[in-house]
Amino acid sequence: MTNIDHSDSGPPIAAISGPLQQALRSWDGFFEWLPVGLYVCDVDGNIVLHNRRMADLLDRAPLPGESETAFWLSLRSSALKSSFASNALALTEGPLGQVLLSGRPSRDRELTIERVNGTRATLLANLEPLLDGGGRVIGGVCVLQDITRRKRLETIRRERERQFRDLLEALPVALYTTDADGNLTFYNQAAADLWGHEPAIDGARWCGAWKLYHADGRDMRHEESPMAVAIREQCEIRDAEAQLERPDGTHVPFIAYPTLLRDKSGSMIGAVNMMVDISERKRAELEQKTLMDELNHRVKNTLATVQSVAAQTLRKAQVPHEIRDLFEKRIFALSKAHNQLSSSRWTSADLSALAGEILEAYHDEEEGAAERIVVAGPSIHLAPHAALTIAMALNELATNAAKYGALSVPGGQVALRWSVEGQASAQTLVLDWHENGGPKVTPPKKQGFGTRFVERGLAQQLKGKVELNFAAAGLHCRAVIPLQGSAA
Amino acid sequence: MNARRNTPFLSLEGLKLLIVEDEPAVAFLVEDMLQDLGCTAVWHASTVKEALDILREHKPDVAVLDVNLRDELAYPVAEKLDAMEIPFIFATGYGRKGIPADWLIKPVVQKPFDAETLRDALNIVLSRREQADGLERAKRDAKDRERM
Repeated sequence: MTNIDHSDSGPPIAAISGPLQQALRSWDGFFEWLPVGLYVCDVDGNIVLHNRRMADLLDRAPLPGESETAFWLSLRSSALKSSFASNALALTEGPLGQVLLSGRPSRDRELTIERVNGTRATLLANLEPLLDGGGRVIGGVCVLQDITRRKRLETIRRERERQFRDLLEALPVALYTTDADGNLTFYNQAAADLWGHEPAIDGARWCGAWKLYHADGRDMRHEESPMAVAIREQCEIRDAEAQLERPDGTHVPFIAYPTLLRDKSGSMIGAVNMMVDISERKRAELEQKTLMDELNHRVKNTLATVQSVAAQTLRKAQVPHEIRDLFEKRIFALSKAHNQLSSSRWTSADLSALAGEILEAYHDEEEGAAERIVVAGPSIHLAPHAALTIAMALNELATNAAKYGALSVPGGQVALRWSVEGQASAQTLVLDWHENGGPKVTPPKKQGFGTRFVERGLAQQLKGKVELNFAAAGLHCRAVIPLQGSAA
Repeated sequence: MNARRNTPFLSLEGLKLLIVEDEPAVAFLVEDMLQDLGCTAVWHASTVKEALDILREHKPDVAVLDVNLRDELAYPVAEKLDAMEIPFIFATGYGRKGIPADWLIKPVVQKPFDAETLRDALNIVLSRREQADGLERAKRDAKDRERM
């Protein structure tokens, strides 16, 4: 508060002299030079002093002794607004009125005025009571600054921010922003819907979800969330899969895309995270898997039924056990090819895994299996029909080897090797089945199912060339199969 | 496969067996295989209810359980068998992938299977029971010794 001592001739001015001293010693001159509008009222609210800038700001000079209220109301009173924060009130008296009554200052009051000439301005008013030595109110001073430009820029900035928020709000994806420490600064309705609640902006950190889990179901602390990792490691994260639990207990799998926000100088000022609900996709995947499992189960049951029907029939007909066994092995070869295909959801079967499963049945447990049957070749994914045909063919070759060939005597060996030859669309799979160490080979007099299947079935089904060579030292089978159509 | 050699072979001779299987053809096959392996009496159930009814009257030595029985799952039978301490195995088209983790302690044979696979799986559960019985016997003996 300001106490005015009229006995003094002016402010203390020690280190200045000359014309400046002269100018400052003149109270009126000092007043006029101030870069703010200013007026003084007496205790009754009459304007006793004003500077030129005050008259400029309001486009009207008060009449000598004019009351402050009359002066302000002579401006376009209907448009005269005083705003405190967001509450805009019409002014019913001069701004100093309350100050003169209460004896308390009023700071940074914003006044929106419309001048007589119709122009508008926003003024910042600072109001101070003037007290005598006994603390009694003897008047008041009002300082006015034109903040129209600043207000307009602020309004534009606010409007832009609002539009931006409206845009984020309207986006059909869940997103939220945080400051550089991970504290939530904004989230849209889609995020609240995804989280299943509306977390308080104060206090929520890293993610607004109630509870988080890793994709595999393990608990995830909020500071382990994709957003927290992105901010801590200063990197963007893509395709981070996690699950959240809503307060109502429902679980939602989602993918997070946290991205850092940087200012012009490149330093991180926060982050924005987009969360995509993938429950639909998960559900569809599960449905497809269930369907696939069901199909595989039915195929297996059907093969078991065929096995049983054949076993009953052959038993009744007193067919030798050996023949029944041969039949069973063929069914199993089909079943094993199905196993390989079902584990890849019927897209392909890996030749190594397939050959391994088929030939496993022929491993002699008493001797080292590794030495007796060698399987070697590059990784190659066979299309389903190729996998089934090759599985059947390998089973026939192995059956023959076990009965007449290298696997029928101790020390005999089988090597299955393959390679991919040629370029691009002309690539071929070259499969080599080589037996040695078995009894002397004599070509069969009659062509059975096995040789027929290997020689003709394989060639026809896979449009390849098959050579079956009953060399005395050991059977050699070479199949050249075009990969186009047979590889997956 | 080497596991086969390490499993002590126990005779199935004279064992009484329960088959729970809804496909008659598959049930016959299992029955034949088990008869070839020396099992004597066989009960056959194709629903959970039938199986539970049999178990109320009889106590098989071992059981083979299909998981999917038309529109129902065979786990209530599995629980009953466990409660009665009857060893059993699962036989299913789904293989191990189709069995809940809680039950994976039991051997699972995937259809179609041969007699050897069936025998090996039964051997595993029977030898486990032998071991458990052996442990029980050892505990009893230890207690008896304490009393003396």
